[in-house]
Formats: sequence, C-alpha cells, structure tokens
Amino acid sequence: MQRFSMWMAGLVLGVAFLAPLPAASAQAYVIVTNAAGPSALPRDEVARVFLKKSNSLVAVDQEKDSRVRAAFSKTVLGRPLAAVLSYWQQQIFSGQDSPPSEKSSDDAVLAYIRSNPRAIGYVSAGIELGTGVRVLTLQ
Amino acid sequence: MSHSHSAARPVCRIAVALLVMATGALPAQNIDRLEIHGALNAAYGRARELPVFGIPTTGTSDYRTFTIQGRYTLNENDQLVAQVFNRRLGASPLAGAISDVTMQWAFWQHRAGDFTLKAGRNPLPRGLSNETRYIGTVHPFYRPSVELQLDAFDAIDGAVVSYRHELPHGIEYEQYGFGGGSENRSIATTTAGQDVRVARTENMFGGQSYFRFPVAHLRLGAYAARYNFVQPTSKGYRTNILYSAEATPVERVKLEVENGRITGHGPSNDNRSGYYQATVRANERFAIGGQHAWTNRMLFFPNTDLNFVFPEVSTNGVSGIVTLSPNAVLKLEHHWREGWQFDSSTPPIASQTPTSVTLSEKRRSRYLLASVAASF
Repeated sequence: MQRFSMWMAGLVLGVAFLAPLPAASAQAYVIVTNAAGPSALPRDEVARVFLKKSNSLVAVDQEKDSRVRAAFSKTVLGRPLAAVLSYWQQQIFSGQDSPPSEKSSDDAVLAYIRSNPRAIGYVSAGIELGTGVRVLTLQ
Repeated sequence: MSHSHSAARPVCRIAVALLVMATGALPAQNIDRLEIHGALNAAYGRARELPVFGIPTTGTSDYRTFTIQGRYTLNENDQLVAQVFNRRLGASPLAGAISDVTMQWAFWQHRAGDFTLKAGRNPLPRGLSNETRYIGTVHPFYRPSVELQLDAFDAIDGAVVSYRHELPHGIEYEQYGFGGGSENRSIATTTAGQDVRVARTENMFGGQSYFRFPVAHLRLGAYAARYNFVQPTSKGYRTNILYSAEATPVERVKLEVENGRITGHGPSNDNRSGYYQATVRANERFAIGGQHAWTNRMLFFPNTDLNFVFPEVSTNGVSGIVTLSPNAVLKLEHHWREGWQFDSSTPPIASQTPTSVTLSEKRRSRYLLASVAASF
C-alpha cells in the first residue's frame, strides 16, 4: 500500500511537470511616458528603470495579478513575473530598496504619468491614452 | 520571562506605530513617503526520532517568523528603515534566551551615485541566503540552510558601505564593506544537556563582492569577515569566509550553492559548512525543492596530531511548494538529518586514547514542516 502511494505521488508530480507554462502575450501592453519624456529608449534601459538600477525615469507598475504586468515582465524585464517578485522581495527584505509604486488600473497609471514628468509605465494595448502622455518605442 | 516581556514592549509600540502610520493616521503627503512591507512564515513541525531546531517529536505549531518593515523617504537620497521581528522557536532552548519580538533593523540609508551608506542596525551582507533569511516566500524551504547561516550574523550594529557598478558585456559588480558588531546565538549539545550560548561579536570588519552575469542570471560572490568573539568563559577571534553562487540555467530551474568556513582561536574553531539547493518550477502554481547541507567540524585535542575533521551534520530535504497567490505560498517539506546536533543530550562525540580517537555512532532523525508564507 505504501509503495502504491509513492507511485501515485510520483505520477501526480510527473503530470504536474508535463503541464506547459502559459504563454505570455507579446502585444498585450504599450509603454507610456509623460508627454515631456522620451519617445524611444533601449529595452535594457527600460528594464533597468523598472528594476531601479537606473534612476533616469521613475517607474510605475501595475498590480501583481494583472495580465499586462505578466506580459511586460516577460518581454521587457526578460523574466517571469514570479522571478521579478522574488527579486523585489530580495531587495526589500535585504534592506536595499523597495519596488516601484503599483497602480490598480490602466487609468491610474496614466493619471500618475500625466502628473509626473519623469514617470514611465505600461498599460493595456488598445486603450485610449488621452493627452499628456506618449507611447515609448523600444529600440 | 518578565524580562522578555518588558524588553518586547517598546518594540511592540513601534510596530503598532508603524501600522497606525500605514493605515492613514498621517497626512497624505507623508503616506506617499512611507512604505510598509511585511512577511509571515508560520509552520507546524514534527520530528520523528529526535527533536531538532525546536521541533519536538510530539509536534509544535508554535513555529513562526514575522517581520514588518517601514521605510520612510526623507528626501531623494535619504531613507530611514526600521524592521520589527517576531520569532517563535517551538521547544528550542534558544526561545528562553532571546526575546519574542526584537528590533531587527533600524538604520539610515544614504545614496550618493553608485554608493550607498547604511548606518545603525542594518542587514549584514553575508551571502545569498542571509539576504532573505526569514522570508518564506522566496525560499523553497521554511528557512535557508541553518548549517551555513547558524543563528548568527543576520544584522550588524555599525555601518555598511556598498558600491554598484556596471561593467562591459552586461556584467554588474557589487562591493560591500562593513564594520561594527553582531550577535551569535547557538546551542551546544553536550552529555549534560544543552548549553545555550548568546555572544556578542565586536570589532567586526569585512567585505563582500558580487558579480551578476547576463547569462542564466548567474550571480557569484565571496564574503570575508574577522571579529572578536566574546563568551562569558572565553575570548578570541574568528575569521569567516563564504562563497556563493546562484543561477537560473533554464527558466524553470534555480540552483544555489554556498560554502563557508569559520576558523579562529579562543577556543579553537574550524568548521566548514554549506549547502546545495535546487528549485524546479512545474508551472505557475507548483514547484519542488531539494537541498543537501552539511557541517564538518574539526575536533581539537591537546595532542594536536589527533586533531581531525568529522561530519558533524549531514542533512537532506525535499519540499513541495504551492503558490496560492503572488504573495502567498504553501510548503510541505521533509528532512533527513544525521550527526551529533539534536535538541537532546548526546553521548561524547569521540573517545580518546593517548594515540587514537574513535568517533561515537552518529544519530539520525527525520522531521516534517508544513508552512504557509506570505509577504507584501
């Protein structure tokens, strides 16, 4: 009976590991800066800003469970959201730094960027951006 | 007991003040400047053959760490950081020697370009696992390897200067230098029972270097420190060297290894410890972890020809990790441990004749931990 349980546990684990990771959508977001901010930046520099390794701009994130953040993390920061969250926990609890502020919606991100000339964020692709912000192109 | 409570009271007031500040008792402009972070790691543990790390064979749910951190931005370059720490250690003899609640950090941080200065009681940059020692959401186990970290050196009373620089080819370089004092807490298992040792380590100075490579998120580092070691019955010094490496060779796999050695006199000491650890993520929700850790310690004799290194602790662990949300994980882990370090009195490690030494038989135990970890 014990051996059977071990085999069953192994089978469950095996099936779990065969399950594919969900694919991130590459076109799920647009990067946005204040109208006075840059219109193009290298992807590496954007990643450095969002990981607070560069303070050339002030990053604003979306909430941890948002789809747009998962897609942005994967394609711009080059790592899954879980790895980015782990990075920030390491930064916070090693006393080094704290993550960019989080906004709960695309509108909140846009409002923050409008009121901060050095701000950079990302919002869902296809939404109305309005005035005071511009789309940033990755070089 | 009363001492423990009275020592904890001011710290509790600080924790409450932090919470009140976080919940809106301050003007709006101050709330923007204040960030609150916290982490809970709560477990149920049960040992099988012998108690270990405060986990009795009858089981304990009194096993927990909780931190709450407040970071207040004074201006663009200056911040004040305080972290309050609550820890319950089950049936560990250490529980009677340390307060339930302590001020783990209280430091001022100043940034000047690539340099950062921290002064006060602040985190000691000592290897990878020390960075997030009590944060269960980032470790595949309830805590990192105790064999390497001991119950020591999680903070330094003094100053830490760090420097971060980007080298060509996407390589990042971090350098730390520090000076001050710290604490060393340990339990020595003897034939008479258990001896709790809480000691200050003063005149501590050292440094740490790290390189981050763009390939596989590889991070390599080395740490070295020297400090005076003062116990009620002895004084001496210690030198500690530590090597660290972590990598994510493929997206689902994270590997980590650390290796350290502490040598010194007063009394003589030479122990080498380390761990290998792997975490394999199946999907967004499930992961498994594996770990092997060890401590090899030198036994010293008046006849130094008899000195030899013996395998004091060897331990293996496996864990299953379920991610409940971006902020919370559930872990079930099982450990197999053998050697001479358990929460019970032990026969002498070795018997000696004028010309030889014979090790006593090592002991074995298993223990289980089920824990939930959350952080924000």
